[in-house]
Amino acid sequence: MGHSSWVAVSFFFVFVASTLALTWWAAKKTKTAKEFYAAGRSITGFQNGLALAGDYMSAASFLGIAGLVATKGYDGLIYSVGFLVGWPICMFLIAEPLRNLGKFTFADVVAYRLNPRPIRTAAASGSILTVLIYLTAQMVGAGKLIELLFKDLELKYLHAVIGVGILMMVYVLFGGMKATTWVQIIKAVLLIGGATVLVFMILRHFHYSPSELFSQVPAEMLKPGKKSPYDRISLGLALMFGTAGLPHILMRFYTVPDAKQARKSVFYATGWIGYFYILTFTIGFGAAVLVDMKTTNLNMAAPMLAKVLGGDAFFGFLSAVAFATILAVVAGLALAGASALSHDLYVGVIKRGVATEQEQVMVARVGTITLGVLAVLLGIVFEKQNVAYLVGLAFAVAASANFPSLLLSVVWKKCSTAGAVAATVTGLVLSIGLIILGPDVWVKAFKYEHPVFPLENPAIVSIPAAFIAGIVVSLLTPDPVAQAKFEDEKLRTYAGIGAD
Amino acid sequence: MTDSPHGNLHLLNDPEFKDLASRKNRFSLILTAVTLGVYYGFILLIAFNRDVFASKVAGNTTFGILLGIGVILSCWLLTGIYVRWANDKYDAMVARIQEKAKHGA
Repeated sequence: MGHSSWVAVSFFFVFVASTLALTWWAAKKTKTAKEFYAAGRSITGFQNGLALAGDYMSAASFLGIAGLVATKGYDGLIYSVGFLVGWPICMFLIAEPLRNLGKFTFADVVAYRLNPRPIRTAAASGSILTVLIYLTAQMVGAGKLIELLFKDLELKYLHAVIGVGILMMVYVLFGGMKATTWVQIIKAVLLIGGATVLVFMILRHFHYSPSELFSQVPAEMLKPGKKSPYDRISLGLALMFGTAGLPHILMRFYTVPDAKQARKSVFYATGWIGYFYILTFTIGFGAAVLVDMKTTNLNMAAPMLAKVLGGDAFFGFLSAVAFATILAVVAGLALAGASALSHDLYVGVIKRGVATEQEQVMVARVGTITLGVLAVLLGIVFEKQNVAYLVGLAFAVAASANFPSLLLSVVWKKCSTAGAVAATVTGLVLSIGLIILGPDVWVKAFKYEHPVFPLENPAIVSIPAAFIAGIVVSLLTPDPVAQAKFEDEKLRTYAGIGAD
Repeated sequence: MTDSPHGNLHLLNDPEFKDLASRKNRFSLILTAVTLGVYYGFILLIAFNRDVFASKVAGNTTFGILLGIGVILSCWLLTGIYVRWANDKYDAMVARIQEKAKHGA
């Protein structure tokens, strides 16, 4: 076993041991549904900002974007900017009403004044599908990455996927949201710290002159690639509105005591994530100059650069951080999936909202196990799928199925039950259908000559279509009761009066 | 904040509440529009003028790099502006409405 592996394995064990100790501590404070799903609303805005960053910055975005910049140059940077712009939108339109109106899931908000059973069924379907696609991306990424990072140990893909699944289930089952939050905070600090040190090493190498670094980057890499503007706009829409429709992100707003802390947490999260993406593309350009990308796997650009500049020990440290990154994100996803399954479908739809505290926590744990097992199976079945493409798909579904119904129900008085369901179903069916008919599946997977739908990302069609469906159906099925409740709702939306 | 909204429905017609809601909507919409403008300005420039991105601005650092950092910083700045406004103005208005709800004024 090489030197780097020893360092990686030691860091890895320290991380696992400390997070398990944390889980044991959190487990003692995780008895009620509010504690399980929302950490008892005891997280501060600053802590939640870091946890949101830890929930959002996946291995795909760290290793994937660094690799993309290292090979394609500026196009990778465009991606990283896209991942950030959803945050202000999330703050201005969603964060505060979400916190004031809901309890544990974003379906709570949509169901607040509409007929809860059809709404929860539709919203939970959108949530679960988004979570499953995102989870598959993370699991496949985890398996591949661990295989690469721990090459000397001969860790196999299958073992890695099962290992991640088990650890994630332990965190969530016993420690609920509290353990998940602290795992995400620790990971965010490690990842941002590690990336900062790596960028410092790059700058030192170029005598602290960014100008010297960029003078060695090939000129063509500093320009955007040739791509159709429609593709770029469509992807931009998916990234922008997808963030405000990701169930595991939205769920984090329930962990803070009130709307003020919710908005504060977006400010901190945007700052941390923005800083992180600036680091990430700098690392990518550094790798483009210092690492031979022709012989390096795209996802290994950042770790290889760490090896070149910081030696085996730093490579080992960064590998362990990448692993912690994956664990934190999958734990957040599992919790979000479990809440949709248990809180929305079981308690909300099957039990019509009537369940004892004990029963709620019990089904939440059953939901977590279901999600954990599903994640491992999906990771095994989709081993050959491209990770970046799966992440793009998850954002497209979140932006098309979850975001329009959520926004319509919050801001538009006339939004009716049938309208909100129509928005969700239209967004869901169109986003997935157009991806199947598009170049990635229709041409690359099914081997047809021409795609039926020309764009890689469906958002430019599926988001407007979901809004139009929601508006037209709402106007056709006026719901006076829901409209009257909209007025009541306002006191809660704007002033937090009656908020949980 | 455990008061139910139902006992306070008269507040819906309170001019102060109406003012609070419309100010919050206006400010949110303006900032959303600015965010959309900044980002789609960036995307449209990418679509229609690729070459400007490689032009050197500070030494060998290109316009594209600085613009990318600029878009990221402006997103953060916009969230900061909103938090500043909400902490200074909005929270005070909310507190007055909550006070009224408590006393049933």
